[in-house]
Amino acid sequence: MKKILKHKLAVSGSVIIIAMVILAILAPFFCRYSPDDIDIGQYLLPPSADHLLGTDQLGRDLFSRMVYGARISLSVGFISVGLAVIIGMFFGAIAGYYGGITDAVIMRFVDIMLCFPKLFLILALVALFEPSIYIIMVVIGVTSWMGIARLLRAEILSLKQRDFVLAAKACGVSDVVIIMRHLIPNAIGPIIVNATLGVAAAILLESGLSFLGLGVQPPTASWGNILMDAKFTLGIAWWMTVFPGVAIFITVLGYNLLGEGLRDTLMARK
Amino acid sequence: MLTYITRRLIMLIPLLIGISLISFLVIHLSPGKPTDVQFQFNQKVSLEVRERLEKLYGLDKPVLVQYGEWLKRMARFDFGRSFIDERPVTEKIMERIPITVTINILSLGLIFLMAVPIGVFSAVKEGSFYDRAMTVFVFVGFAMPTFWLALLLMKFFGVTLHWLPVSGMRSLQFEYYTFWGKLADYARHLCLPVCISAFTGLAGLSRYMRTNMLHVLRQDYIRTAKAKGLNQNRIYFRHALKNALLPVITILGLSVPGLIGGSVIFESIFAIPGMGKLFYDGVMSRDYPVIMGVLVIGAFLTLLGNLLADLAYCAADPRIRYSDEKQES
Amino acid sequence: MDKLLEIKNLKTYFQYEDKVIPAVDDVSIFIKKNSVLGLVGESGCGKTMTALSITRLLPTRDCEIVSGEIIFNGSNLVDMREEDLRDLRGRDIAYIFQEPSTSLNPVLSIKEQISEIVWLHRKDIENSKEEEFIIQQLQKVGIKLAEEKINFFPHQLSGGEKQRVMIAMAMVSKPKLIVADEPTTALDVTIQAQILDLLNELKTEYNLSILFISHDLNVIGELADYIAVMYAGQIVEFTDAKKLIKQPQHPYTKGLFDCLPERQSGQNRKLNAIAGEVPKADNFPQGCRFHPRCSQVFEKCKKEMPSIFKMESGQEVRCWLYSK
Repeated sequence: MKKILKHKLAVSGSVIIIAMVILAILAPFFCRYSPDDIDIGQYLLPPSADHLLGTDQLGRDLFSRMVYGARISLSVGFISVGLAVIIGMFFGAIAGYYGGITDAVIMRFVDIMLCFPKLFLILALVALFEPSIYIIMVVIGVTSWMGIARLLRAEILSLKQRDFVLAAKACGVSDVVIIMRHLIPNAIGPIIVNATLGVAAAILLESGLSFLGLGVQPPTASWGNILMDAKFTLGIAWWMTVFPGVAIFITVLGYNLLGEGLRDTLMARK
Repeated sequence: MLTYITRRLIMLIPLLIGISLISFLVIHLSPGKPTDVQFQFNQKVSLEVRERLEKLYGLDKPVLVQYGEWLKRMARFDFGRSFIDERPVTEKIMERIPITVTINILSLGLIFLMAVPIGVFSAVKEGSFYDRAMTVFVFVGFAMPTFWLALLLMKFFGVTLHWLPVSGMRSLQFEYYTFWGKLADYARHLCLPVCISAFTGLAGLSRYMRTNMLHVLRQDYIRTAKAKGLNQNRIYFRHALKNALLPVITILGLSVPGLIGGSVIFESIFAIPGMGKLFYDGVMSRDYPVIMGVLVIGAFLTLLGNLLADLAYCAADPRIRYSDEKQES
Repeated sequence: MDKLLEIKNLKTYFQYEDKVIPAVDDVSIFIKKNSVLGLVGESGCGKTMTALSITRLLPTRDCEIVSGEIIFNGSNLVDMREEDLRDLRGRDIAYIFQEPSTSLNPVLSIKEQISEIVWLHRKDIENSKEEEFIIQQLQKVGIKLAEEKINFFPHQLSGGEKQRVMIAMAMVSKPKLIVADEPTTALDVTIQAQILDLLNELKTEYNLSILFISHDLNVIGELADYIAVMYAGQIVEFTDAKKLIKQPQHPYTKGLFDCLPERQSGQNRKLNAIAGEVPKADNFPQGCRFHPRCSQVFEKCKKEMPSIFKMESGQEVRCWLYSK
């Protein structure tokens, strides 16, 4: 009974995510208007049959902008987390496998990175470069890998004394092969869970940055920067505030649900 | 316990050095370096800015000398003068810190006061309707974008109901209020920011509290307590709660960087003149001395928060408090 | 016959969604007043679950008493209300657990943990005398420097001292029955002997009855007046201690004795062990649960579960060898 319920979480999470991905990939098929078409005469229209979710202060179709915004959110989520996973796995594997001073230095480095309030570090980096979607991806990636490094290190520490690793070592298998073939695949469960939850966090971060005007720059649409515009029409155009927020909320919820579901299924087996 | 504190303080040294190194690295990413391609396309960062940065951080000197100077600056809390109004950065930060720290302490308190009972009752009534409702709440809390929630609440309590002010720390007539009136005015202004800042941490901590409590309730000493004939309430609140609360102290310490970072978002939404707003303005106007100053001081505050949490943990856990007396193992 | 506690056909099952695990399956034993019943068996055979069932200290919701009776002092504990049972716990029936280091609350001082019971079950002791009383109790169980250690926290005590504190806690209310669940297993051998001596002393001094659980026949033999042997959730042999030690009947009991090094005959003193593995509770074999490991197995054992047969000597054995 419980197991099914837990699977239900994972399933409902995946449904949300898949729906979002389809919407984002096939964006042009769903949209009657281009997200950047300005029609001053049609500004701030409430939702109607013509404009499903209404229009913004420049008369752009909100539905189109939201659908294209999904592309931004999802790609930022995937790429930044992908980057974080690569960096985290690299450091985590080396620290866990080689131990000793290497381990001490890397883990201290992780501690130090965690001392900086993440948002401060991200904004400082954004200020140094100019905000753009690529910078955002990189910056979120390089400030989000610490959890994964810690995780993989802990897993490898517990795995590396097991027989199959010792046997591989005795056979003269190289370190890289041992790490890639024997250690990482055995530790992949927690990493997948962490990465899934990480995508949720990255999407929240990106939207927050864009909301502050320091993320994805107009005229490119992102859920966060639509909300930034909504701040000025607060009380006039409820649709500008409600829909992007709901979109962020549901997407993040989807990844969190999937992550929790995976946690229950992938990690309970041990 | 003294040895523990000493060891803890010694551990700060590599962290402080690390902070100086990483912040130094960040400066070196700053635009205007000859290798920086972006610089050529970048209109906002003028040559003049580059020259000022060069003078401030001595960018033309050898790297080691630069780092040495940066260390000296950090030790003296001297981050130069703001590009915008030429005031010393440290001074600007110091006048903002009390506001941000107050809001964070208030919201930490609120998180703690709410998360503990929520988590404890969820664990005690595991599987009940209440527990499930709380699980849903936790998921909602995790997925809610803070700034969106802020917008919605601003709209509802501020614009629609006119109950609460939507920006700033005090009203225009603040000067004319009595002492209590001033206090009430602060309270009204801080109500929304504190609640929203607390909301972000609430979901996580109550979930953590629930897990902890469940873990503790499975321990042998809970069975012992039950075998003594104690009633449920005494078992929960005397035997389980104290054990379940101990790790929460550490978690509160660990949540400090998140809260400080989050202050950027809600302070700029509600126009509260705290450190987060200062940082945001600094980023918007590329006021590098301010950015670097806040970055470093934010890291210091995090260290301080973790240190305080560790000390509190020491004082609360008899296993550490009395660890000097028994020199086994 | 003066039975202080009688357990009749007790069944305590774990119930998960898809399977039922019979941890305690049809157990019937009794403890006479002022006597020690030793309950012996390999780990995982259901000894602890039997002990916890007595005052319903079962660990989770998934685990409950399915049927049976537990008669203590004339009342049936199985259908007793929780409040009444709570009153009984710690007052009439006290427990000593296996792991003294995890069974004491790490964040409460010794004094705090003992004074709870005084406050709950010894209303006759005035507040002003409480501390003195607790120190006495600690001294009685052989804790030196009790005046000082009363303010200690568990981690500041040695393993033996912790178990002494557990015993002191159990003795506060002068209970009628003490359930000691492997009280010496986690301790060093020398300390084991001390604790056993202590229990023996307390037993004579206070006319205690003890349910003493152990996997170690030697320990049980030292203390017990009666012995029940448990295997795979069932009692396979239940009898007077002297008779059982002299003449074990059930093949499993015989096997247990054969495993003891000092019982093995002179020349080829190699350690015997019972062949095969302890069956898992979710997958008991058909028929007699011991038959896959039994050296005297015959056809009937594989098909039908034996019931308990009472021999002329008074010994009770669950084995087809003894069906007449």
